[in-house]
Amino acid sequence: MTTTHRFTKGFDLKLAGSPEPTVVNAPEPLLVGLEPSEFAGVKPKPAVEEGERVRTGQALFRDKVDADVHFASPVTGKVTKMVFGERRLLLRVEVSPEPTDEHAPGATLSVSELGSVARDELVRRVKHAGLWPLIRQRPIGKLVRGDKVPAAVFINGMDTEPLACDPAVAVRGTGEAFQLGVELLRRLAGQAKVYLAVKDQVVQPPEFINSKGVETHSFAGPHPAGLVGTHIRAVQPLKPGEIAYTVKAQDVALLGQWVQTGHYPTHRIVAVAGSAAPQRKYFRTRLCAAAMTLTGGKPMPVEVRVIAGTVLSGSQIGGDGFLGFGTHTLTCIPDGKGKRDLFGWIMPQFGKLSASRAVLSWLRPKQEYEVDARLNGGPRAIVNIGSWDAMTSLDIHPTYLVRAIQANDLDEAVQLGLLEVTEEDVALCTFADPCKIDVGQVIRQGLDMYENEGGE
Amino acid sequence: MLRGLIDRARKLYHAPDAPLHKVWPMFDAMETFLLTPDQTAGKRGPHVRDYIDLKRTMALVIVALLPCVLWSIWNTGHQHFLALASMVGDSGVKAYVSGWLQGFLFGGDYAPDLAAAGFGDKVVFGMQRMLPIIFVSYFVGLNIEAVFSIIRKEEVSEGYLVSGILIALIVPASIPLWQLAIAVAFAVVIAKEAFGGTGMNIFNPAMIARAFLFFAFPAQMSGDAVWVAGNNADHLIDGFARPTALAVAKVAPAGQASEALHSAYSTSDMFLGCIPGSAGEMSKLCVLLGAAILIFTGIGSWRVMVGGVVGLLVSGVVMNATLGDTWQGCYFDNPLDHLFVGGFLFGIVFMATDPVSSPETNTAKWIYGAGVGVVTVLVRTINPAYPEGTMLSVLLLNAFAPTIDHFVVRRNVKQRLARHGHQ
Repeated sequence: MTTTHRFTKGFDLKLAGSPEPTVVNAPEPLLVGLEPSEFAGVKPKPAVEEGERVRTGQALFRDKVDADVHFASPVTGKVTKMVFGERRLLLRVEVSPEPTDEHAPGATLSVSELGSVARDELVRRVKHAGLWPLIRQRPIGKLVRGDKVPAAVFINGMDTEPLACDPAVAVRGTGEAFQLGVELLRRLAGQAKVYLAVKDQVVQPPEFINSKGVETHSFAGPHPAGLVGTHIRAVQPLKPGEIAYTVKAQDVALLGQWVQTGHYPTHRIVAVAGSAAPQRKYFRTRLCAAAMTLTGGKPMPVEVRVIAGTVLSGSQIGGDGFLGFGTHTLTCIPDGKGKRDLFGWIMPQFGKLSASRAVLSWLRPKQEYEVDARLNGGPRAIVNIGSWDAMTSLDIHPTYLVRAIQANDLDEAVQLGLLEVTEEDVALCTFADPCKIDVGQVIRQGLDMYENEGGE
Repeated sequence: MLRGLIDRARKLYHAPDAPLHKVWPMFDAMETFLLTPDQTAGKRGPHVRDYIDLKRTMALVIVALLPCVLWSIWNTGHQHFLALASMVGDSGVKAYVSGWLQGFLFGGDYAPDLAAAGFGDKVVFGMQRMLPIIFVSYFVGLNIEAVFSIIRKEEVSEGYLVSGILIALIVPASIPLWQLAIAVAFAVVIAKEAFGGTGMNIFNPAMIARAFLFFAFPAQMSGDAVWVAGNNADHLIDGFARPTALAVAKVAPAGQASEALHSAYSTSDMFLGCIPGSAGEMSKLCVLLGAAILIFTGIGSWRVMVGGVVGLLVSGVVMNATLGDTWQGCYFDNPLDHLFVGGFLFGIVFMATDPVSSPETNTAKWIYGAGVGVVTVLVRTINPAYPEGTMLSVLLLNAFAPTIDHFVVRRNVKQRLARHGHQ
């Protein structure tokens, strides 16, 4: 029995360059790289030295705050480069792979142990295996800290972000691994429920249909209907002090694969999309691979913006950057730096993407847009013509929340629902804002303030 | 080619050590008027942005105002010649004196057929009054904005583009330009920049400009003589006075406001806008066209507009039913007359919907709009002095907008606490 939740607010960005839903094997990368900045809030402590040989699954660095949390090498090979920033902050570890994997003797968990081992021990093994960062917590939206048992676990089996990797495609064929991942999460959940969120009215992969021990909810409507923030609010809103674990469906399968094989899962499926991407497909690729592995072997030129993630929530990486550990989508769009439109503010602009009817592209409803990364306007103070409100399906008043944060009024911000959102939940507000305010950045400031003041 | 010119000009002011860097906001405003900025999104966060920006938003409000502007040009001339036609044959009337544009276009001996002036005569007269008003409003306002931008080292905001034209549309066409200039300066400095500029003001700046004129120069802003412009030293027609529709109803004996109104002005004249009044409020049809544009593009809040009209009609009915027979004032048997007279429709569509000075939450927008309607009717009916209440009601509700929002936001907080199990 599936409960369906419908949403009307929001907006689907119709971008050109959707990936073809066929999975192909990407070539093995010549270099892999892992950047601690991908894991917000982690203070990295290097666990290897330059020139050292590492084995697959061996820790490259650990978290200073919680030394149990390892960040593992997805390949066997030699550490060719460790990049440090100011005050010797580790910025990146690069490993040059050998042709065959040699697995480090690390933490494993057999299928039989899944039911018997104590929860604390289970957590420790997932952390040592380097897989803990696959799980994120709400509120805050960072990796799980502390030993609080979650009030709910949310598996996200859908993604409504533009050009995003469809979890249904990525999970199809993982078979038993997905269910093992679910079992693992059920152990972590303790008494709490495990929810699976799927897209309404589409064919689901057998892994979703046959999954046991989860409560399935389906979601209909435009983005942000597919965001876990929306799901939590609709299914089981969190009470003060409660946390939820959130995991993407493909990452559930990776956890299951670790249980199944006893080895660190080295590959995942990444969708390559965007109007500037040379090949738009789903690739089975090595974790943390150099991005150029998926863009035809050459780094993309500077006119192309390569984004690890989607255009709404991803991070720009250079053409010679790395996919990262948790990246499901690689998006390539034109950057647009240096391009300027004559009288852009008054021309009808039939070919420009907009959520409002102030741009005449609404006359061509079927159009797919080639969008670049320009702001299309100068930053201004908040002039609220209702565009933020129309873009959020959460029960919050975003302008008031933002002002409370800007006024450093943390109590007020929390009362206004700060803990129900992360930057991805307000990404559409940023997109649609005529005043070009980065709403997500303000929300993150508020969440940082909350963490610094000792909130959990 | 244009791009090359701009890039060369940019060298003069863009870099912090460039010779003209101190006044970069002025150049930036001109530059971004021509070409969209090429600034791209940061490394994190949304990488694509909607094509709408504040320039486009404000430009669309101006597009929505264009029917009113064009109509005001024609009707200012129409009312002028209508007044003269009614005076043809009066012994005291002197020969026609032409104004600056008439003199420029037709020569000093311009002598229109006063009894049957043509379309061209009316438009030229209308432009003769309206163009200087619009020019002064923009010239004074934008220059002050630019100075504040330079002081604040911010880009010039587009807010005044709308305020400038609004101010021109809510004053009588006979307004002396020096008074207008002072009012604009007052509104921009005191009502807007003192609060921090576009996005920070509490009151609608255009309404403040009008209120300033209303209280500082009542002789030029009220009464029966000022609503038809002429060519004498005061921009009036000597010896001519014609009250507005509201003023007619206001002074009618108790219980006879409706008859007095309809014998002076027909409903179709009021709807189309062939009546004297402030430039923009004349034609209800043009205001509705503008409202359609604002609502369709999502720039103006339909909640404020509908709430306002409902508030006006309901309170119109209630007031007429309770005090209509005993009090003197604008008590109309048909509440729709409240829409046809005065500046309410213009005010609720273009001024009450100002995104900065109106509330932000949807529920509050309904309450606020309805409040504007109710207070307008109260002033029209109960207040003995002012015929029109739109200006005062918009300003009053501007002041209450944050309070209304506050209650809506508190309710949201309460609901959140209830979900969390608190009482």
